[in-house]
Formats: sequence, structure tokens, C-alpha cells
Amino acid sequence: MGALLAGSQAFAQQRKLPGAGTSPIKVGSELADVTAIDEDGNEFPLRQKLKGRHAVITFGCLT
Amino acid sequence: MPWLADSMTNELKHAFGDKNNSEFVISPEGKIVVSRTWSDPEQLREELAGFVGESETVTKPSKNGQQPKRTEYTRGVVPRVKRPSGASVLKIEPVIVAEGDEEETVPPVEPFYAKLRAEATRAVMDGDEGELYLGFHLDPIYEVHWNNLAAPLKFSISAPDGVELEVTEGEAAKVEEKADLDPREFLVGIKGAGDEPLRLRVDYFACDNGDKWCKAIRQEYLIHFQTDRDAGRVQGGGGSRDRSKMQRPPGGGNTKGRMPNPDVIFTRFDADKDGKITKEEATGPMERRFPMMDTDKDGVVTREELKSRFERMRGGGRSPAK
Repeated sequence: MGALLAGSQAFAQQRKLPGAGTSPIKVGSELADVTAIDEDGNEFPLRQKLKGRHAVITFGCLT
Repeated sequence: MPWLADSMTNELKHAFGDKNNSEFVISPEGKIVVSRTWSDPEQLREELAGFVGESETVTKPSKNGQQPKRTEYTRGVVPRVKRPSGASVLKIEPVIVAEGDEEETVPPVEPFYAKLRAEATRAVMDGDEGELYLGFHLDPIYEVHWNNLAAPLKFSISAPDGVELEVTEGEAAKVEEKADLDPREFLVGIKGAGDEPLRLRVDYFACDNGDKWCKAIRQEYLIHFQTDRDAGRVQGGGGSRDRSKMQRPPGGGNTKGRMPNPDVIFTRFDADKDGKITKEEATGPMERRFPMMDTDKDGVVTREELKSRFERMRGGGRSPAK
């Protein structure tokens, strides 16, 4: 199993709002075919890297 | 635990629904099997036990060495500006100012220690009169503070033709504390915003929290009148409802309504700097008002005529008593 923390500059200074609502990403949907950057600065294509094991992605910000 | 960073275009954020602190479990087949808008470690632990079995070793958050650093520098010494209600966050484009262009060298690029956030009301976005919020927020990732022993932050704005600004430059108030972390915020009256961006230059003095350096920083931005969906939120602000405590750029003279400075307007429209605004130079809102400003009907508007027009507007639109 892999666990990942994803950070986005755009999330900086965001905070939880009451009644934040339901995530628009539905259970059962396909993992998006997007590429992030790993901590060594290398590209990290999610579908390719996470295939074959359970993975957790948790979003957050560094600040 | 591995970290991933998003791309500069926020692909990851958009693909996962634009929710901060959201959490997902993905199956080996690449399907989303858990999706929630806010991370819940206890719930996640239970779910993972169902997917892959109980963990033999449990890692506590206190053991992962990721505790945020605390800083000794002060917050809360500069009154916050109440941002305009219902304002849109504007797209900001940092401008890298190159030096030594002749040699085509790549200059060292100073980090943007202070990040600009600009917001505008719907009226402003529609080109009407309103308020532009400018906030300079220290980016905590750089671990820096304002150096209040040096000159306060100041900014200047150049606007495209047709855009009227209450002021084109401003300076933050002097702060008694020798250092702090509060944002420097301003409200500027604006009218006539359109497709062309404002260009803003800011000068400030910053020091690193490790006392290794203090230096003067100059940065430039383009402010586009387009909504930035990735701008996020800002903590605080809006706390002060007392407008007298707001940071306002000096020199605006804007004590009655949101009246722009006539000298600023005149300088902007007098393109050839001959001391007169001709009909050709009068664009945008100025074009419509030209006949009212040209009181002696000689085909040009002088600085005095413009000021006189502003005085009449300040007086409720009536002509002065004779």
C-alpha cells in the first residue's frame, strides 16, 4: 500500500469551511491520468505509479 | 511518507475536485474506493484495515517529524483591512525583471517573499467604479519577516489608458514593532478596468528569521481583471469594520466618496505632456465627459478645467455659487 501527501500552492492558506460538502470525485470513478512532481523533483504519473496496490492520497498545504 | 507537489497549473488539484485537505483511497485497479472532502485519519485507518488488513506498527503523527515551526515574530500589530464584500480574487502574474539584458545573462531571481493578493468587486470587474484590494502577504515557506527599522513597504501602479485609480502609489504605515508578520493591505478606488492589466511595483525590506540577511526587495506584478479560481482563501481580514483604522495609501485626498485624484487622471490622459488633454487623448470614460470638462469650449481640457470638474463633482454636481 502506498500513502501520499499531495501539496498544492493553491491550497495555501485555505482552511476548512463548515459544511464543506461532498467531494465531486465519485467512488468507483477512474483515477485521473495526471502527473505530479515527487519530492526529488521527478515526474510522478499517478496511474502508472499507483497501479497494482492500494494507495492513499491526502491533500494539504505546506504553510 | 512520500510527498507529491502539484504542477504550476494545479492539475492535481483540479483532477481531484479542488478540495483542500481532501482524501482518497485508490484500489490496485486504479479506481477511487474512498473519497472525502476532509482528511479523517481514524476513519481512514479503519477503511485501510478493511482493504489490506490491520497494521502491525502504528505511526503516530508526533513521530513523523513534520511538526510546523513556530516563529517568535509578532502578528496582530497592523490593523487588517476589511476586504470588499463579494469580491473576486484576481489573477496575478509575477514579472521577472531582468537586469543585464545587454549581455543576455540570466539574473539571479529573488524569491517573491511577499505574495500579492488582489481582489475586486463585481462593479470593478464590469469596468464601473469600486474598490481594489491589494494585500502583500509574507509567504511563510521562506521564513522571513518585515524589517520595520527600514522604510515601510511602498507600491506604485501603472494603469492602462482609460483606467482611473484613486491613487497610483502608496506606502504602508510605520510600525513600532521592529519586526512583524502581518500583511500590508490597501484599498484603492478604481474605475474603468478592462482587459489590460495593471502593472504594480512593490518595494520592501525583508529579513530572514534566522538573522542571516536583511535586504531591500523590489518585485513587479501584472494584475489581470480575471477571476483566479485557484487563489484559495485568506485567514483573517475583514475583522476591522472601522474604516478609520484601515491602511489607506496617503495622498489620495479621497475624503468624499471614491473620487480619483485629478492630477493623476490629468497626467495619465495628457499623453504628449503638453499640458492639455485633446479629444484624441480623451479615451474611455474621459471621452464621454469631455464636453462637460471643456468648459470654455476651446477643444482641449486643461488641468484647471479638470480640477474644477472634480470640485463640482465633490460638491454634489452643482456649479459653485457665483
